[in-house]
Amino acid sequence: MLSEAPEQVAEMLRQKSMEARLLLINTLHESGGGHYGGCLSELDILAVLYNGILNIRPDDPEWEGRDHFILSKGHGAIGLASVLALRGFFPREVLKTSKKLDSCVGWHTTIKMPGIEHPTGSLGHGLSVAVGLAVAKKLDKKQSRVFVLLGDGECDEGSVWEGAMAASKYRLDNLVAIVDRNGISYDSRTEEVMPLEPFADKWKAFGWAVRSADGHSVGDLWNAFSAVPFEAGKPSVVIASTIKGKGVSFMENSVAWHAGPTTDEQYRTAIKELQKRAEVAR
Amino acid sequence: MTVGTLAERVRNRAGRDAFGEALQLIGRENDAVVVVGADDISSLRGNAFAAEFPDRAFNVGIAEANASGVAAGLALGGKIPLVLLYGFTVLRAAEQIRDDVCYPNLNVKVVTTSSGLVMGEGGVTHHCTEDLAVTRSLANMTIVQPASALETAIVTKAVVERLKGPTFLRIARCRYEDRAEQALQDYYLGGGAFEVGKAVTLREGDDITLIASGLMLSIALHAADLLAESGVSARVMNMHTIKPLDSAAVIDGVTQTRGIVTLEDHNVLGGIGEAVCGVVSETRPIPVRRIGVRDTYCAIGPMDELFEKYGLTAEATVEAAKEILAGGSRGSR
Repeated sequence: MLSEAPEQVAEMLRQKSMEARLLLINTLHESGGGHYGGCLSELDILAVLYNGILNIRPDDPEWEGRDHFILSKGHGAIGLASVLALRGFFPREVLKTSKKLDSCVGWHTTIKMPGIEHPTGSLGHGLSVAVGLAVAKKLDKKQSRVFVLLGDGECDEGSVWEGAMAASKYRLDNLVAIVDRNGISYDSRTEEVMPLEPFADKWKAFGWAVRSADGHSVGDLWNAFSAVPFEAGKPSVVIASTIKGKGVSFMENSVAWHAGPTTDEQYRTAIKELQKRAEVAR
Repeated sequence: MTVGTLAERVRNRAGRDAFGEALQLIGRENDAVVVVGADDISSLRGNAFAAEFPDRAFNVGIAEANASGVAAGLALGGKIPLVLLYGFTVLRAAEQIRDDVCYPNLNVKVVTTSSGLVMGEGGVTHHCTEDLAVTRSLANMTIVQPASALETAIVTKAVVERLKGPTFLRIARCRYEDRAEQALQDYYLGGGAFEVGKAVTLREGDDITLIASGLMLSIALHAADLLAESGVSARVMNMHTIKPLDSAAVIDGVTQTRGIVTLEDHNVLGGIGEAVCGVVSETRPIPVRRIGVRDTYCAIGPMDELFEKYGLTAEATVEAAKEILAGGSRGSR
């Protein structure tokens, strides 16, 4: 799959993703911890979207012709903030205010952060809003697309499927949902908490064009996102297989690392590992 | 369209029919106006709009949370969505209304035509005496409740054309009673204006102030007639905007009369009465009595009979007023 994306693009995306991971870990550690697991699982998806797919102008976040992105899994806010800062939506220093009084960076997305289209945090909201926005774009015959990233545990929410039905009814082929399928929600593994499988079949049954991707392969993600809409007249969903805590060995695939603080030693280990991976990748 | 023409179009119509008329007119004037329904577009009389503008009416099925989120997305995309909800489903969609509409301050109009006890025969699940408590506590939300067919049409046009931001429009499913229809026809045809947040004093009086809106306004007017028969001069205020409350008008009532009686087809907890009490107790406390549902689930029955059973009547209002004036303190009814 990688060969379909020009190698220099893939290299650039990998680089962006790695930078965002380091920034994320620094931000979370300095601010006393946070949603490590879900932020790390989503980062490659966000890096590819913001550096290779979305038609946006970081110096003009409200630009009329932009593509829209909604982080429905709002607890991934600091992951998104890291990507937005590196993309130039705001200075990196803003992340140093994270979780402090009046900061635009918190556990969940806020309307105050430049580049945030819509605030999220309570799960099961983003897809409905994305549907409404995609309908508005269709009404105005605009080319802008609407991307929305959901968590897999989030798909326990009935409102996700209400939104999924509506997207299908209104033939929203300008709408792309991405599911960060890391297999773990707060309490435990998703298949224990509330089985989602056969997950792709569920989306298909709801009228969506479905594609799977390796959620940590920038090439695979780039190929998938570049191919939307997968079918004319249908909304597209990319089920991205990811690893919760991706990039930090002791966090990977661990229920315990949904959220929490890191000790200084854990922080140093995490940074060391990420830097090593970055070198290997080079 | 002149107010006179509008009055002709909605004369003797139910609140929801007047809303439907107004919606269609607004739709012709502004193509940003769209409707989102939850299999209730015809119930809320959005069907004429939907027939004329099929591309601007979105029926998302029996899924009120999604309907509210979709409306938020449409507003984000520059549209002016009216999301049509059964009253009781405001509670189901409350979180979407809070997070997706009110917090980002989006221009979404939430409309119900079955709040209160208007679907009395439907039983508790179809009563709605909690919606004001929920929507009043949402920052950025404006709440308007018209009290006649003409006022419904005027208010609907005004909040769509002039008010940017989240609005809850609480309209009656049934006809408003003649007393309110007549009083508001006189007011609006006589050149009176509707202004968001500005109560309308329909009767002057200096003994007691009656504050009501929606279906309770006619009961307040009736109570004022009964009080006049016993020599009590009652001021009647049409508090069409429940939030932001017209504090100045309430304070006039405080300073110019000896007490206030509020009327609402809602739980007295969290409703109009409490809103008024908030203003009164922070200015110059005088006695306030609240007519409304007293923290209970109501029986099955026609609305008028439920109003009788739970004391939402002109007689109960008169009694409350007289108790205040007699300086009686029988505690809360």
